[in-house]
Amino acid sequence: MEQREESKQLVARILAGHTEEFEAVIERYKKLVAHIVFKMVTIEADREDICQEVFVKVFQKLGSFKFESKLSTWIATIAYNTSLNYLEKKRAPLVDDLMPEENGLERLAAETYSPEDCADRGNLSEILIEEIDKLPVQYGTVLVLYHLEEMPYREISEITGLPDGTVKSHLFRARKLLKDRLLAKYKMEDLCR
Amino acid sequence: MSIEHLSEGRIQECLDNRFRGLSPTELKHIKDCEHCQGLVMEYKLLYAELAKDRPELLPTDFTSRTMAIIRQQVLPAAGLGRSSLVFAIGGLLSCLAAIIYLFDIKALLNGAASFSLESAVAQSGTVGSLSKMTTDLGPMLPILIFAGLILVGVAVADKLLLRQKTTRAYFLSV
Repeated sequence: MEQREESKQLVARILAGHTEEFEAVIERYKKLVAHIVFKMVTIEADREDICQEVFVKVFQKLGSFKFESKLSTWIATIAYNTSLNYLEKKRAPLVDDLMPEENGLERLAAETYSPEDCADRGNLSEILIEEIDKLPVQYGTVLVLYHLEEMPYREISEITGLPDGTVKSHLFRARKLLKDRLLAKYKMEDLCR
Repeated sequence: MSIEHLSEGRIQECLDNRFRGLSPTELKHIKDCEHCQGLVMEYKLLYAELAKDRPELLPTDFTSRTMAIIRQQVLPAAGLGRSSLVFAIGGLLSCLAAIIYLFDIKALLNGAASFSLESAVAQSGTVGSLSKMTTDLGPMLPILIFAGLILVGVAVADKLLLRQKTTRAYFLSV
């Protein structure tokens, strides 16, 4: 509640003409925007530009923000939609085209890594990031919003425009996929080390 | 075993809700069942890894570069119209002030019929022809200072008052 009030005051100051205070908005929410954009946009060279585009849009639309949701949710929605538009232009698949992967664990199991490989490739976090990147776009996005940004289903649903039930099912499927993929490559005891 | 194994979806739900909302039968099952305990452990490990903070994704100068884009591309486009108008009015006022100073105000008020450039020059106390006057910077100096002061005043007013209003108007217009 306190943060909401603080955000209100910050936005009011920017709208009153203290545009330099928009810096605080960028600083506060750049991580959130990056989490969404970097998850959805696969071409590295475009990611930063899209993050900038998101903040320019946030600045341009700030006057129309009515605080019906949290500022973070509103900014995340802009980030999500901007990335979605980018994907539409590039005709990148969101979920459906990648669904056969879900049952293709036999192929993944063939790419087994030994514990030595695992050490060479860095710790589990790095391996996990790689695996998350291989997930369908919407799975990865809900995963990042839920676990890294600690957002509830309702908020993720507001950002992505997906029903609560779909968010929940994406989340469950994404986690199961990740777990199965990791276990297909490594033994549990190697992962626990 | 009291009930069937818990589904992976149910186990994830348990972890999401920190094991709240589990029935006593489900709790007892997890306590007794190695298979379900194994699944809980696997997911716990996954949850812990997923929640770990990631390295910074954007460069350190991202904020300043984005602010520069906003200043260069967004704000000037919004503030140009009204600001230019004020500068144009300021410029016209400066010219008017210079004319009034250069040509005696009384001559202007007395009417155009009796007013001629030569007489105005004569009334203003400048000796010689108009061409001589324009080459002589001495009498022009206070005019230039006066006009300059008006322009500086307009610029300060624009910076302090108009810019903020323009930004506000910009936000209201989009």
